[in-house]
Amino acid sequence: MGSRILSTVLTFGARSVGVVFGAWLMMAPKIIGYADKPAGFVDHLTGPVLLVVSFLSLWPALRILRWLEIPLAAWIFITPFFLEYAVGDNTLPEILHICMSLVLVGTAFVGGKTRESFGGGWLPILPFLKREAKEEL
Amino acid sequence: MEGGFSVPPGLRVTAETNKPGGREIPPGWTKNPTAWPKRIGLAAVAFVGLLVAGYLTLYQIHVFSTVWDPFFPKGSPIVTHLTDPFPDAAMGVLAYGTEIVLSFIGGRSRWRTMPWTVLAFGLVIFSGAGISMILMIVQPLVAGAWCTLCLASALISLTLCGWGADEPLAALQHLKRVRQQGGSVWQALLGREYTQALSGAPRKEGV
Repeated sequence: MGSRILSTVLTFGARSVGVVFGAWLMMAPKIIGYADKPAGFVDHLTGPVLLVVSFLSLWPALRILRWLEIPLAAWIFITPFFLEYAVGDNTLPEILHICMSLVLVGTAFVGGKTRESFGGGWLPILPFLKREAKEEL
Repeated sequence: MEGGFSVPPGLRVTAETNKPGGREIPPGWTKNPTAWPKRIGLAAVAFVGLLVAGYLTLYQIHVFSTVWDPFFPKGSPIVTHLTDPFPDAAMGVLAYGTEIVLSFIGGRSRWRTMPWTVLAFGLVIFSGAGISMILMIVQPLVAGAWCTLCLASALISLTLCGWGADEPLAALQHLKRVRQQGGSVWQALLGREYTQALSGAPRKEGV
């Protein structure tokens, strides 16, 4: 019972991290003041994508989506190296980006197990769709 | 040899799979994704979304002169008038209404007896999630403002997608089983071919 509660807390905690980071990236450009820079444009795009991916992976049937947090984390990690986030001497946004990306990679590996099973999930369906498409052609 | 390693549980064909009045839980699953309590819950969430989208539509067609927004009172009018004179919130009303109607079509085992409704439902909820994501991007980038009720509607759409995503998954697995048995996917989509194709019995021609 205790391990079940711990597992649930870990799962929701890990997924919620992505949701919070996504929401932060959506708002940060205006809050910190880099909304008019290309970096602000990029964060306004990246934030909602991360939020949606992490939010949907809260549900067991879509838990597989959590792996998309890894490429998103990689993107968040590299953006400060070629986009200007700093506002004056304030390098906090750049530091936050690197910290967020490292945490996201870690949380992608947490809370993947589900008590429910879904008959193999989504991946076995994909070759079926590809084969159908070939036959249609 | 059909081993558990090569064939995922949901795609294994068993004699008890998909007979009329047969099992309600898809093979390899722990619960029925199209059970009534869950579908009523989804319809209830969609109804809340319908109210939100309906209110925004009424504001967009000038039935109300102001729009309620506790966090971004100046932002909501900007965002909601982005597509003037077209009331884009009406598309939300249409989507949520469709979700409610589709939630009530079909029986407890509709993932196998009426897959088309389940796939139509899946199409609407996944489209809703995609559009919600686009709206979240558009608000700051195009409008330069936020709208609380628009974000609430996006959250409702994402909840519907997350909660209801297992339904189309079960229907797609069912269609794959039919295909593996040599049955017609199109007939199965309409719920006409699940009996023979999946019970292992020879398939009738011209069903």
